[in-house]
Amino acid sequence: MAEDFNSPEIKEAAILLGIPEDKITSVLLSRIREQYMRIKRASVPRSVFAFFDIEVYASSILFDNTFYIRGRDLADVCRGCKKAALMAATLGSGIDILLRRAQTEDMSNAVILDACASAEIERVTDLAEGEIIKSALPEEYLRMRFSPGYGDVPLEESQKIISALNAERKIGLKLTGMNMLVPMKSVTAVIGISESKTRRGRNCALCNMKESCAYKKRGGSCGI
Amino acid sequence: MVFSINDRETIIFDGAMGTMLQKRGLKRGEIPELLNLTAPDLIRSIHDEYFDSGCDVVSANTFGANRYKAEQAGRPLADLVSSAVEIAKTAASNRIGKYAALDIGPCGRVLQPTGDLPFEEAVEVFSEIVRAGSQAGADLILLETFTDLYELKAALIAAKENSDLPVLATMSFEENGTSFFGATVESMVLTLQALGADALGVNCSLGPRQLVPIVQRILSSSTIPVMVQPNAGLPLFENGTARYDVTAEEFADHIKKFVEEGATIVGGCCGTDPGYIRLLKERLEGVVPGKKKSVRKTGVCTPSRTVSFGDDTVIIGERLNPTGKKTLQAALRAKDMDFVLKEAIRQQEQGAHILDVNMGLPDIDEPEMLKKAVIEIQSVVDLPLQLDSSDPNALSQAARIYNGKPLINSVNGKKESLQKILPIAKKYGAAVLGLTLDDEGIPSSAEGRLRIARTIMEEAQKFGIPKEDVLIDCLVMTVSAQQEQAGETLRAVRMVREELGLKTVLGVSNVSFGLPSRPIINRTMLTMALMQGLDAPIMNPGDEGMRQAIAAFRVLMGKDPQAEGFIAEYSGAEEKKPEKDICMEGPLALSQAIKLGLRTEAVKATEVLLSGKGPLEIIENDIIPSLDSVGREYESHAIFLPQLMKSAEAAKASFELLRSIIAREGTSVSEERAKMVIATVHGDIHDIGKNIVKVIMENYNFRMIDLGKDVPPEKVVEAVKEHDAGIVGLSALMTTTVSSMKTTVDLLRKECPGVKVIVGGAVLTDPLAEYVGADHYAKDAMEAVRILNSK
Repeated sequence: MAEDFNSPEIKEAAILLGIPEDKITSVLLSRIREQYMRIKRASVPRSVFAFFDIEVYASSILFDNTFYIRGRDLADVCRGCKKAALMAATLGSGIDILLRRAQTEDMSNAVILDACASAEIERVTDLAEGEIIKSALPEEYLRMRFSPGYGDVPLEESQKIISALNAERKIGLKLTGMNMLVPMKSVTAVIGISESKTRRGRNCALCNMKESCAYKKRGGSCGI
Repeated sequence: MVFSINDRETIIFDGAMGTMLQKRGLKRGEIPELLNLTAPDLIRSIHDEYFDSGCDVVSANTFGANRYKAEQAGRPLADLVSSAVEIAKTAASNRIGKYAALDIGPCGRVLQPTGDLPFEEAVEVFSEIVRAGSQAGADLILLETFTDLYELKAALIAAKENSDLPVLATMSFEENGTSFFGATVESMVLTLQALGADALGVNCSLGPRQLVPIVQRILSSSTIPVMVQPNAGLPLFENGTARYDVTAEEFADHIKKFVEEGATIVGGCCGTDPGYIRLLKERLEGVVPGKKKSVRKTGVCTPSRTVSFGDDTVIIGERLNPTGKKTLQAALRAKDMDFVLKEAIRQQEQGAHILDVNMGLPDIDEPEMLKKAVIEIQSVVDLPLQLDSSDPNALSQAARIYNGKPLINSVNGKKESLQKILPIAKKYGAAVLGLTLDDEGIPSSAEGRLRIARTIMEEAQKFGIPKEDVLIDCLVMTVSAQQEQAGETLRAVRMVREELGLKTVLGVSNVSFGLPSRPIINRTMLTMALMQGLDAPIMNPGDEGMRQAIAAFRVLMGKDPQAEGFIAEYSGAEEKKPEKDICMEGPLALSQAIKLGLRTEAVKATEVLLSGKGPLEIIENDIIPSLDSVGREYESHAIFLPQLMKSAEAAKASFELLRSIIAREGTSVSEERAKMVIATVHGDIHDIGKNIVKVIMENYNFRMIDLGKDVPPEKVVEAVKEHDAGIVGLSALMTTTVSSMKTTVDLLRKECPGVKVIVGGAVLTDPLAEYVGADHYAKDAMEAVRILNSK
């Protein structure tokens, strides 16, 4: 059991459910494991990324001399970079169907399932980010991964990431009228690439979840 | 010349437009359709190159031209579309026998329930493209690269409703033959050919090599011309740019094979250029398209599941019909869809292959209710549906918004019925179930019923509905009233099968009305009908006797190889016990069952309590105190959300039992519950938080009116007025939707003064709650209960 809790996804799901490490029971652990397996079975993870030349302005970034992504917080994070990666990742629409059905069947399993799906998209995004690191040159370093919705970057900037990556065609990622990602468990992000190493940690002050973050509540951070 | 398709000639389409534009400097993130206005000569030169390389049809540069893209581009949609079509048309008209297609891709938004785009809005989005394109002179319409079959259905309906042009429709699949949105190859084929596409097939997604099995699946199931437009292989990334891994030679070889196997319309997608098309044209010189080996099958589907009739017994679940079911009637009157959804899921678990859905009650708006039920059921269950109504309007609306190919129940031999129902089935791509009765009533002889079945089949064919999409119900009569009729029905089943070659459906259980031990008669009648060749009984899939009869029949007729299914189901049948949460010595107290979150035990404990107390007393004295104590543990972090919800589910099971008793006794107690309208606000599609609150509040005996997610302010106001609700709960997950929360509260203040508004959701805080004008902010479900119970 102990090593199970150390498995990062299970641990992440438990944290998202608000369960501290010392309060987790073996029954809860096995329930989380069971729901995580359902997510694994229904998930078809896909991701896409590409590199762009950028120019960083005071409160926006110009990509390939073609389109801007707005946000002072993002510009601050990418200050000094000449290159950036755009990325998008998703678990696929099967997860949306599974989550809907689970909520009709049994809400107690559904809340666990939802947390597991969130943990899983985080894992898939990390993997994609790993690919970006591999594709970058040895002297290049990645800045913090920054998604629309963090800080002052409007959610609608996701549309530009999706278009530039052709992510609709490549991984089936789309937006709603209010700029929410569909499939639901998906991520879009900008990663500045610089020639100097900087701290990559996520800055809680920029995060729009700072008021309700399950990690922050216990004095931690999501650690990415 | 008018563009037309036949089985003997190959039609060659062009290759990629996007690839060509990128080669000429189009940057990532730029809108290609803008070039129709800013660089028409560039677009024209690409069409010319493709025509020069030998293609018959070019696709106008309209793939992404839709109202959303037009808004981004800051140009009117009609301008983007008509300029593109005019450019392509001009290129074509300089040559003989060359055509310009209006090219339409997905609109970039996702349809409800997965996304937020209502089906009718999607139809409108595509309709305006079709209107602009056909007015500009397009020769045909190409719908391509769709990954959501539902969106493609909307586009196809739009094309048919707004033009007379031929429509070709293709989807993009992953290597396993499933699209991003879960549609299978077979579902696509069934749906598109029933909707009247002129050709169907696959494009983009993969290279020709990976498409081989997918094309084979299409060729073996499609009865209409098949189209294939692969990518130039899979992308390879080199120095940040993509290159495709299949050469023009290899591409052309594959396409030639596809044509020899029966594909008649071919071309290229991403990565292909005029070089590919030129070689393809050369390779196809003198090649006659092969004859497809597709078998005409009777089938219905949802995007992810097809059900074929004839191979094996198809069980049509009958439980979603309010006739004689008080609890379902009460649920429908209260617009409570949870009950319907649970029943749908239960029937699927019991082995139903198709679900009959009938929402007919004299005092409800049947078309609206049937439509709502279809949308909601399809959001959680992937079984095909049998739309059951005597109201043509209800059938028409439901068939239109159905995702896939439904079965319509029913048409009959009356002239009026044939005239009204068959066009609906034709237009919306449904199979249709014909009842063997006409203006004279139900013929007493099998021959009479056969005659009506033949009439229905022939009339359907006149409307363009193929014979395999007509199923027949030979009608079971009550044997206690007309004993000789059972034999006639059985004979009719055989005759319809043998003489007309149609599939048959039968609602079996009517046969035993008025007799004791009805299950004996029912299952015997079922077995006899199966022996006559019945394809699909309409039945209660939870009826053990009927299930056993089918299981045995399948073994004896060799439809259950090695009796595997039977053995799995019935070996150790004696040891099988009903679902049990945990081994317990003796019955558990209700409070204990709720605390531990044991559903079955909670129901048992409630039954025990019912021998001494009334339902309301149990709610007040047992359930609510137990929940309070669980809630306190949750708030002190002794237990967490999963455990809280498990207790809530156990309490809910107990409640369901109590409410069914209250409904049966018809008391007015339920009226006394406080009513709360709950919704996730407009624009927000994340509703798990709202659903958590709903379950908890229900357990505190609030009558919850759940409007779902993405709910416009007017709908909230309407529901508050209709139900005279005193409380509204609103949830928003994202900062962007907090503004629609405010709009909703503002409207409520104006229209429903006095209603109490409580808000919650991930981004909400006390100051934000104040900003939107709510009365209260609750950080979680337990806090909501505390706030509402203390006021």
